[in-house]
Amino acid sequence: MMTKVKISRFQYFLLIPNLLFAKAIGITAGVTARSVGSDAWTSMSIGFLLGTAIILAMVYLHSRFPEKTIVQISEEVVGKWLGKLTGIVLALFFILAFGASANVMTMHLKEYFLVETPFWLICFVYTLLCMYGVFVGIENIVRFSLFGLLGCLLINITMIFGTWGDFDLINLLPVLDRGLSANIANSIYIFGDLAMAILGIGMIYPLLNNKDKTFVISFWAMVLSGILILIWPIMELGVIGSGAMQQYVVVCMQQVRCAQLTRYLPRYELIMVSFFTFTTFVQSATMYYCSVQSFQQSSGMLKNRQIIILLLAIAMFLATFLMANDHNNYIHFLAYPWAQICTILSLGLPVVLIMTALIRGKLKNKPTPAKT
Amino acid sequence: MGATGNISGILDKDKQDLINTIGQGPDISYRHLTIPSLDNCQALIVYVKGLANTTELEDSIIAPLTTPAPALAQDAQQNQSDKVSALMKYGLSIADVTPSKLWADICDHIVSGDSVLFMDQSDTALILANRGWKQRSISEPTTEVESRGPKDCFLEDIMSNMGLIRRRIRDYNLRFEGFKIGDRSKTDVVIAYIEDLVSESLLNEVRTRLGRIKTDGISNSSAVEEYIQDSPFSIFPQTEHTERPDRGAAALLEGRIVILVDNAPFQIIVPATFWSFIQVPGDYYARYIIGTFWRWIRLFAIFLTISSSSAYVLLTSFHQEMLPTSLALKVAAGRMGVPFPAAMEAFVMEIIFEIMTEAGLRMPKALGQTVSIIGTLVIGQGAVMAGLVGPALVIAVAIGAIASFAIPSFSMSNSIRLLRFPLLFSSAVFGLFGYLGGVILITIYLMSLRSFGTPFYAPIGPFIREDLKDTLVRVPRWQMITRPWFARPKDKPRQAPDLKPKPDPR
Amino acid sequence: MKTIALYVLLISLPLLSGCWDMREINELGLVMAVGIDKSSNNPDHYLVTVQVANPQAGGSSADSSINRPETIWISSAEGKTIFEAIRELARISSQRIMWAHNNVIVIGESLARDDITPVIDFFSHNHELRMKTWMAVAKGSATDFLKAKAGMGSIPGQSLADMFRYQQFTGLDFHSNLLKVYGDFTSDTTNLLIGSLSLEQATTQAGLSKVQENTVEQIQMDGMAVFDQRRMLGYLSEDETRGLAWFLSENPNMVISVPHPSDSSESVAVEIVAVKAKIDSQLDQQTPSFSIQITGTGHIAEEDTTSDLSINDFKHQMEFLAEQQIIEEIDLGLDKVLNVYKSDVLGFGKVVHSQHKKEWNQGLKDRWVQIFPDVEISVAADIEIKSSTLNQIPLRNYRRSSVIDD
Repeated sequence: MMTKVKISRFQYFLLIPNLLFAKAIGITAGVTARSVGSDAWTSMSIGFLLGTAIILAMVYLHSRFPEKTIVQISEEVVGKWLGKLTGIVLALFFILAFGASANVMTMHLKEYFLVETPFWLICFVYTLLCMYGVFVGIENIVRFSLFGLLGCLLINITMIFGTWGDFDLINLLPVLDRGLSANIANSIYIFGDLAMAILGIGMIYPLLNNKDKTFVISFWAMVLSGILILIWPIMELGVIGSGAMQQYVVVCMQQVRCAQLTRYLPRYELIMVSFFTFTTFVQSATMYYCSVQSFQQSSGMLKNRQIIILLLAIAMFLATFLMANDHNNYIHFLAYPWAQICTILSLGLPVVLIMTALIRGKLKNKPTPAKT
Repeated sequence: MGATGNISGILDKDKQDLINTIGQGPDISYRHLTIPSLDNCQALIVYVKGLANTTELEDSIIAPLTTPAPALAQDAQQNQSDKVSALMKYGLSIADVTPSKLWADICDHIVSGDSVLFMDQSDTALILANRGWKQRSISEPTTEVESRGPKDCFLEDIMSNMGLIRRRIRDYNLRFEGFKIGDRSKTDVVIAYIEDLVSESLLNEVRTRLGRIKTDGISNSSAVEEYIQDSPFSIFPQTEHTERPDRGAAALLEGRIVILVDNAPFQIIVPATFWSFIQVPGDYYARYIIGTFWRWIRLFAIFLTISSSSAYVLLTSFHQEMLPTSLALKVAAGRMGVPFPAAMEAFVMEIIFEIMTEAGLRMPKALGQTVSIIGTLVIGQGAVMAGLVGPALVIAVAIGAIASFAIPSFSMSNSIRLLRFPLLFSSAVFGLFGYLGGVILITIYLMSLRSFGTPFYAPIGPFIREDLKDTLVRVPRWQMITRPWFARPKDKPRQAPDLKPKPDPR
Repeated sequence: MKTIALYVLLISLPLLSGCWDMREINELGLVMAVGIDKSSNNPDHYLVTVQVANPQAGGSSADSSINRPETIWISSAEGKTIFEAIRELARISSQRIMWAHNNVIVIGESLARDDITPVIDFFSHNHELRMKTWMAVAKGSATDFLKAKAGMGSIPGQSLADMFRYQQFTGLDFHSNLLKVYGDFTSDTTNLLIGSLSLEQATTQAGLSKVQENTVEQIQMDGMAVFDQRRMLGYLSEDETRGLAWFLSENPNMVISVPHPSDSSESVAVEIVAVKAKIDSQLDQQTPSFSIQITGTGHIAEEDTTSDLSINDFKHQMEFLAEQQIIEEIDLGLDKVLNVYKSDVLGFGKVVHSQHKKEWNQGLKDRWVQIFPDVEISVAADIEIKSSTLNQIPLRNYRRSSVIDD
């Protein structure tokens, strides 16, 4: 089943915002607001700038090894066994990332829509859904990201229309209230999301059918993601205020609860959650795929993909369920140690790989044609 | 013993062999005659009565043969040995005459409706193409009605169908390539394509897939469809079919392949995409902006078809907060005293609706009125009056039903209608989440489908920018400069790039 | 393979399950308004009163009005916590109580004066409730208010919500929905300002056919209630509330009566629209002072007497008088807030914070509660009178100034 899957650059462009959006607007804004209050938006913006830089570094690294995933690159750069270790670590990371991303959706459902449905069942069904996505192939998940992005746009537009009347600029001020250093320090929370995109690109990049101009494309994709995502902490702060943001688990849902389009559509969370589901699905399913992929590549088990997908489904389900069975645990987990793990991995891995490759002189190699 | 190998040239033996092979039924005629111009040569004409055109047989075959013809006699005398070529030159006034020695060939032609002329002392028989049977005349299409557009329609006869296509495309490169499928039915299947447009790989794929059909008989083009699909278990049709020659011709011009099947008025078009099922020729016959609008209406109809009853269930049983207060109260008032949960109510009503559709479809026309009266009055209004279902549900189901009829392709409409049920169930369990989960599953599935190598959901997933011009919108003709990507035509541009009408520079 | 997996998933998902969250809409009692009081029997207990819409009445209007059931169902229950009291309601309610369509939360005065936290806590946690639900303090017991008539609609809760929606015309209520209240409640400095309701004896004449007049209690909007952190301190009168509305209300559209320039015993009604308020803070010696700058456009709506002023003079004088009037109104409100209640319900703390973050974070924040009553506030208004509504010149001027002088 290891068919040669190819995705186009445009699809890659569409995918990046999807890898970031769901969790960033769902959970991260609240986590950040809990530590820096009304500076959540500046802190997230700073994190975003850093993340863009790392993504570009990642793309640079990949442009030197265009047919290799991050796992294969590390095998080549730091040696076989260290590389395999990286692969296993990444596989575990992606399992947890799946949990973090899936729980954005399950939290929405558990806290607002399906209050009485058992939590394990929601997790189970959602895992099944993503499993089907991985089962039919990353190609189709990436194709679906068009709907994901449309969903992002629509949810943003409806949210802005619905809450514009309650926006109060004073809630955002003063800029950098807690000081620049606190802002930078707390920007690690958005690395919980950025890591998914950075490392996800590490697994997806080799699938590109044309690798020209990926630098520019990645940059603009990040700009688009930035606009789509940072509008949320800004609007959330302006509408519900940092004090209230700190109180809620799923802040974006709280924001959406405040939206009102005239008195005839007093609540349209349903519509917005519908849009939101698409992008969340893309995010979770991609994490799932990346986990399967890095597991296969590091363990060398290239056959029996179906069975690996099934086995990992159990891991995914457990990760999701255990992570957020009590939502306080989830929030604490995201603040510590998840944000730190993500920061270390997503910052560390590209930097270490580039440095090592530089020292070993492997970066000078012009891109070699594909071996497979 | 049957006839194999070549004919013997001895008339009585050949006749006996033929009788052994195709029998002597009342529909097969063995007509003996003598050809005076060939030294009173004994001859035998064999034909099937219901298939051969007897008038033509009489006037253009039997009459010239039995009348003394000096030219024929003279020619035959000069070339003693070759009666066949003499006859072909002077003896027959029918257009299409083929000499043949092979029994297999000859028998095939007889049962296909041609007449065959055997002559004593000649090891070659003449196949006289005078097929002509009672067939309906070209009528208006019944399932793909267009208010403005050609009113002709494919027939059951494959020859006429090829003619209908050829009349629209006079390109030298238009090719028809024949297959015979079915060991017993020996159905003619013809693939039509334009040689310098169609992609080689697509053409070879179609040839291979048709070639591997080994069955006893093909009753309809749908049977061919089932043998050549990419995902045979799929609920979705992966090949288009049409009874409109204009649609077939348009497909050919896009570099697609039309598969014509004898005895079937619906011809297959491959490859197909999901979006081609919501396109109709009428889009192109109306002004572009109206064509675009219709397409959106149809998309919306698809959405309504699969969602209306699920939406009712998830709004009334799960997410009541989403309804505006006054609407919520109205719906609640309507449901007061309804003894079933909304999901059950919706399910039963949907099933009843399907039964009514099925009943109306096969019912003799005279009874149609009764069905609609019973359906609307007794079941619809009666159930509401009796308090068995809420009025809002009846509206929801009716909207879904009407919407399903707005999907132009009947096969696609059926598939989509069937998908309502799983969506209804999952909405009844998980509310919005169940509904969306189902929609995502179906969409992802659609994206993973392929039709003859073309992604079924193209150009949306995968996203092909240049094909958008004729998918969700229908741009003006003069902007459709290139052929659509999905059939991978060899020759992309289809027209000059500057055809936008503009005032004469003078 | 893919197809079979799809079928398995589509068919098996529903089989997994019961339907936990399924609640039929006709089994729900849609709460239209809720009132929360302290129990009169036991001061530690809450008394929750709900007004539930009866769909049987609201439904088909074609039914004859004979035997028409009551449109609403009102019921109360007590409990140690609000949630407990609500669960108590299930003992008497045939319908499952659902909050999603609740419009108004009415808080009894005694409860508000004690502590409003439990109310905000409970309702902001309730996932069913919308954040745009109106909150109001009842001058009296909330239960009485739920039983009273409100507006014209058949469901008082809905009418009450509609009344709140139109208060931009009176300036009697601003930002007292759950969203704003919760935002202020969780903010560091801003205290709550919640609309209040009072009951009046209203004479209604129900339709032309019924001649007899009957007197019912009808809800009317009153001023606003001022809170400190969590307790209600007192009310602002209607005029004082109006004063604050000039700069706190969103898009106010109020009418002021200005003495007529030529005859001060008569009045001119001016409708002020497009009001913008700008609040600035200055820090000298660590004591902040504020300036409130109101700009707006006036339309002369009604003029009680004739005058012989030219239209331009008239406008200029009117502008001046209107500005004076607005400043007076604002001062009235500010005076009460600063000198009587001494509670920052104006959000001035936020203004200082946003404009002087350094000083604010270096201690001003902690002293704010003490400083606030002493801040200097200067008010300025700039009203431009554009036109008289519809008429070219005010009607009363028409006879005199037969020559239009511009």
